[in-house]
Amino acid sequence: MAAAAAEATTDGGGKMIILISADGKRFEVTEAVASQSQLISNMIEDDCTENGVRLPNVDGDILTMVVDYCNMHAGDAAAAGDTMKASSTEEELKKFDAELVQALENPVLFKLILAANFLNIKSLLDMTCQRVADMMSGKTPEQMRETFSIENDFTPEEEAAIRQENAWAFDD
Amino acid sequence: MDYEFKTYKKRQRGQQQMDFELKTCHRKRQRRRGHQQTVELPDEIVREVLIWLPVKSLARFKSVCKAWLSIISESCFIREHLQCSKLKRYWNPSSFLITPHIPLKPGDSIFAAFSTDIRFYQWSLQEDTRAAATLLYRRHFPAGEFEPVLPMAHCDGLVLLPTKTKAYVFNPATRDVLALPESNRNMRQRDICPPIGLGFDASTGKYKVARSFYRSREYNPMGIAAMGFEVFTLMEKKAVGEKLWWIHPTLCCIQRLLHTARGVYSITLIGRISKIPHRLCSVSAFKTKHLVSLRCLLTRTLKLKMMKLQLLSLAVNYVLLSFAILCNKYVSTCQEMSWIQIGIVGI
Repeated sequence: MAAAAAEATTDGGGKMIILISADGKRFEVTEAVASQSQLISNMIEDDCTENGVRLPNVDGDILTMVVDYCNMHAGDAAAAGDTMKASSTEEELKKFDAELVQALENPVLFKLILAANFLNIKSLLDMTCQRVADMMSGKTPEQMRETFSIENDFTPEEEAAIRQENAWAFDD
Repeated sequence: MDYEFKTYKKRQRGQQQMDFELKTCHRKRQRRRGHQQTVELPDEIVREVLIWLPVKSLARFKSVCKAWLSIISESCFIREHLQCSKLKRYWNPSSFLITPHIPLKPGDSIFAAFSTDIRFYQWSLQEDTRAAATLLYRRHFPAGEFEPVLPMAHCDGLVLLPTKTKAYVFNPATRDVLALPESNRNMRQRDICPPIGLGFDASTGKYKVARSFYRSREYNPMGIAAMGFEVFTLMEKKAVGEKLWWIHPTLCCIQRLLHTARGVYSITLIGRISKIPHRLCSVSAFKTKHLVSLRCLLTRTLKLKMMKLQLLSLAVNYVLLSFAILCNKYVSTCQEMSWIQIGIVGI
């Protein structure tokens, strides 16, 4: 049944790929869109996408964002001559990217990073990592431990020594 | 399907191995239990995030945990961070590193005694004229520690400050300074300051300082004085210098060191250019057109700003363990300052 769906083609003739999220949601995207993911691109090359691509690490709502992103950026990756879909201008893309990550809070943003890493979409990974970095830049080490669920494994003396060494970085 | 994924994941890993070479020194990370709803990022992803942070935040986050300290201290991470900063500079090329040098007595020439208060400002070029210079790093040496200061050189944000007696390498972004050992080889220490240069040696991935010295007090009948070079290798660890001196026996009369994209060159008085055999690759290429376009801006706006020496608050988000520098050197004569050192800094 999945096979039948996966072999569906668009009117334009581009092959469609079915992506299946961890919670069973299905997304139908063109090859050009899907192959922005290096992982899926490799699978397409090896012809093993017929039964749909199951993504056990990626939730449906995260995959929705990823697919939106890939749809938007398909113009970049597709062959330059392919102007079937009026390619978005650079400014529109920037705006879209900014809006995509701007609203996201911690758990969702981290999940998106993990998905981008798993699917190997370099531009999305860079963008989401940058967003996290922007959020982090003014924070204290304590806030970082909280955000990243990290246990402080320094002894009080070690921590004091490191802080002392970098005391200038704690000035506002 | 699962099997297929494993193979693909494996293949991806292979591709990423280059990126994460340093994962081998694996660290044990303790995490809090009982926060199941929070998503944890593996170290390799944390590294990807940290790369985008400004230096100041990184210095602060060294005390988060041992794993972070180790990531931030990796030389490979530092290099990638620099590349990332250069990329950002490419998107937003409007920040400079400047150093005003104030002679002890107004109106003195550049060969007279200078203030030992060395200051590095980050000066941002903005569309509007409210651009400001922000004090980045200030180091006050004891009075009389050095007298005349020679033109500075810089590479990837490291700044070489040569004086008549000593030479210093600053990393204003990390607030580090390294004093180079004094030369006991220079035979004409009293009267002439020999040229000195800083560059990046791509073959070893290290920064080097090449300092010339006079091998004799006298000129030969041709009017040429024998000279040599000492090469000093800067280590990744901040204030520790490895004494790797190296002497070239045949160079003579080095007029000055030039930093070019392909290496550091010396020019002899008789007009011959000889390449320093010990290859020193400077990342920064001298770009005349940048200097010309900057000259107008600087004389117009900088004079005013720097003379007041006000710290105008501007949230400048500078990001570098080392800055990336495009222009090599700029010398200007303003009233209050004898000269100014300028480089383009990543934002």
